[in-house]
Amino acid sequence: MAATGFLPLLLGGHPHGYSLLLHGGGAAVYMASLGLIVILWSGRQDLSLAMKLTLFILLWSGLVTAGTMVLAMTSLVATDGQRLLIAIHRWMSIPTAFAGILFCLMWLVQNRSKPIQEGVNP
Amino acid sequence: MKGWCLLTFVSLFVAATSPVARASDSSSHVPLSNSRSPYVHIITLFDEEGRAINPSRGQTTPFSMEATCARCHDVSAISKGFHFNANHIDQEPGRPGEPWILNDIQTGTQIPVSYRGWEGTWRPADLGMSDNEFVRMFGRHLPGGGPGKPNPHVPGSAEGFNDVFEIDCMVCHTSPQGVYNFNDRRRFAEAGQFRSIIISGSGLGHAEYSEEDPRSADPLAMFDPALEDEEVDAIVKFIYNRQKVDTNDRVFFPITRAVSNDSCYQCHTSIQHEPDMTNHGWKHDKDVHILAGMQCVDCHSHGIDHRMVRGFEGESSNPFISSLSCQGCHYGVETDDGLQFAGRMGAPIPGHEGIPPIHFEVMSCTSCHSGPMPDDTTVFFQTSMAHSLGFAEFVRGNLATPKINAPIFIKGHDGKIAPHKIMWPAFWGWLSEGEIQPILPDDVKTQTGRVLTQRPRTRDKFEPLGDETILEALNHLQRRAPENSQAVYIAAGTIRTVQDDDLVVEFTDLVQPYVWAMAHDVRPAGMALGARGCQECHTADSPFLTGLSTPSGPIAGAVGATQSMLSLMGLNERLHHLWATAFMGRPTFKLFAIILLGLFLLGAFAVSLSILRMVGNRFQQ
Repeated sequence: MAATGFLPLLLGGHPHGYSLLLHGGGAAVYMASLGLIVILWSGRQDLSLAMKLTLFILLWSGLVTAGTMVLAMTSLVATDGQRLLIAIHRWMSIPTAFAGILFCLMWLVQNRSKPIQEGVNP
Repeated sequence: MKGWCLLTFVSLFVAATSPVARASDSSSHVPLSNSRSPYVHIITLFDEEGRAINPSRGQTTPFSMEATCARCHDVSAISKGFHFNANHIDQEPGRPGEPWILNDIQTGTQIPVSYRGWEGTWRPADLGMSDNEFVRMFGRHLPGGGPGKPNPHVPGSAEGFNDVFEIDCMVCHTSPQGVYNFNDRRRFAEAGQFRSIIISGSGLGHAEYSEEDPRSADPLAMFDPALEDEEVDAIVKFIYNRQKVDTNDRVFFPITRAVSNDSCYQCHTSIQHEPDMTNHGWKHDKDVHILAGMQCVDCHSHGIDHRMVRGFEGESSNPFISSLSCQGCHYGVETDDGLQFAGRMGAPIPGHEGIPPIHFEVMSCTSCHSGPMPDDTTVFFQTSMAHSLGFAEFVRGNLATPKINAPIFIKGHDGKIAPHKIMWPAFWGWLSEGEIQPILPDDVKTQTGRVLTQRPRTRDKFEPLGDETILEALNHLQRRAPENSQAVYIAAGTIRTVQDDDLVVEFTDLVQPYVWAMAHDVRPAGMALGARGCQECHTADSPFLTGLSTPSGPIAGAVGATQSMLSLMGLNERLHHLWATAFMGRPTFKLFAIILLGLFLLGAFAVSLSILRMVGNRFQQ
């Protein structure tokens, strides 16, 4: 999502064509997956406090990122409002992306350390 | 002589002490009335030398429109205005606009011509046309000045002129209460009697021409070798209508400062051609701005320099001028002091609710709001300048040339998609070393005998050129072809040549179609493209993207390749179909997204409570 959304911006353009199609098509899957992961994992007792806080940030920034775009697609807001919502969408997607990456890294670290603890110090 | 001097003095005194003069701003060298009410122009006439004319005493000296108006207005500045500066060397060409079209029914010629050097047009000189020939051909709609006034510094520019075509202020500034006779204007222009245009146009009388040999004035001059090649000059007399002259030798000009729409339409009418034109006006609304009570000149405005605002985006860095574009007026102009001018002249600020802003970055306002609604194919358009609209003589059939089609959607000067008009040049020419030099219609007729001259001459009897006629004419031309040149006929994106006694028709890109942006008539929001939903454009068969543009011209045979709007816009056809397919499920997608978002939100609250509780517990511990 970040690649199809940010890459065209970094290249001086805006998402369009195939990249926008991919971005828009993947958005629904992304939202559903993120919602499911957050809801299912938030109850897990094996997550550290840091991971839970990261999940909290991921949850709310993801919600704002998705919500602003869904709202912009409706006929409720005019051009200026849409521009504002799209700007929020873009800016909020940065913490969302970072929180997602951070959470994944922490999860990987946690899962790598478990077998070592179990194997070396029975 | 004394009488003339006295009259001149009196006239000058009257002019100098007139109310306009008295209202003069001390900071300006010209008098101003500074009122929104138009100044009543009851004024003295002046000749080219600036001498007052006394028509009531039988004086027949031609009055000069420029000299008369220059008493109070800066005619020098006006003469550099947009309508007069096309042939000025230092003039930037600007965005391509409607060209003059050299149209000849008999020879099937339609060549876009412009002094401005717009890409895809020919300059008159490139075609071998003198300024005089140009002015005679198009003087019916030229406001005077420009090529109508030979430039003494340009060799040959005076060729053919025995009369000067001054700027005719009244062609635009006649008030709705006045009358301007365009039929006479065309007749006089074609005859090269340009001063007649000035006097008959302003309704002050008529001109009489006689020819006088300059040598007859002096018998000895007959033997002067220097005068041997002197051309015979036309002697012009103005027969003033005495009823139009008051007791002080002044005349009334029904002038309006804000030019009326009808004056603009005289040269700038552009209508969609339909088989039944008698019902055209009833079935087509006017531009939404006109219906709202605006005038053309409210947006296409200018100062005394007559540098007309054309009204397209990016025309000027001056915010005030930029505010006279669609975007500038309806949204405002971003300046150092913030957004300014939004809502000028009562312009509503559009909401465009639900339309993704990307549309405004890649498309012009006119794409959705101007011209006819896109259809499966383009339609024929006729314009005043191209089809002599406004003159009663011609019956303009559906086939009448020049062929102008619209709307085609292509990227404009600013890279945004916009509706354009398009015409494919058609002409006879010489092909040499990959370049084609058009031949002027009169020369074609001379060189092809009766092959083309026996064809109908007028639009009402127009017949498309058949391949047999083209073959015969090309054979005639080839016999007179310059060295290493081949006679060709170009039309509708094709080139016709003779090879082994047979006519060969091929597609060609040696001559490109000429396109220019169209902005009117503007449709209201409710009739804009997309007002009925995204599917107006985002479907597999939407005319906006899949409508077809077929080259047209004055021919009966094969024409160039048909292109879709997608192809003209340079868009990917496969992507469009994929995109259109995606839009089939867009309403469902939106609903799904909203439901998902709602669930997500509920879940988020629940999760947040759980996390916050956990964090709280940690802090308590």
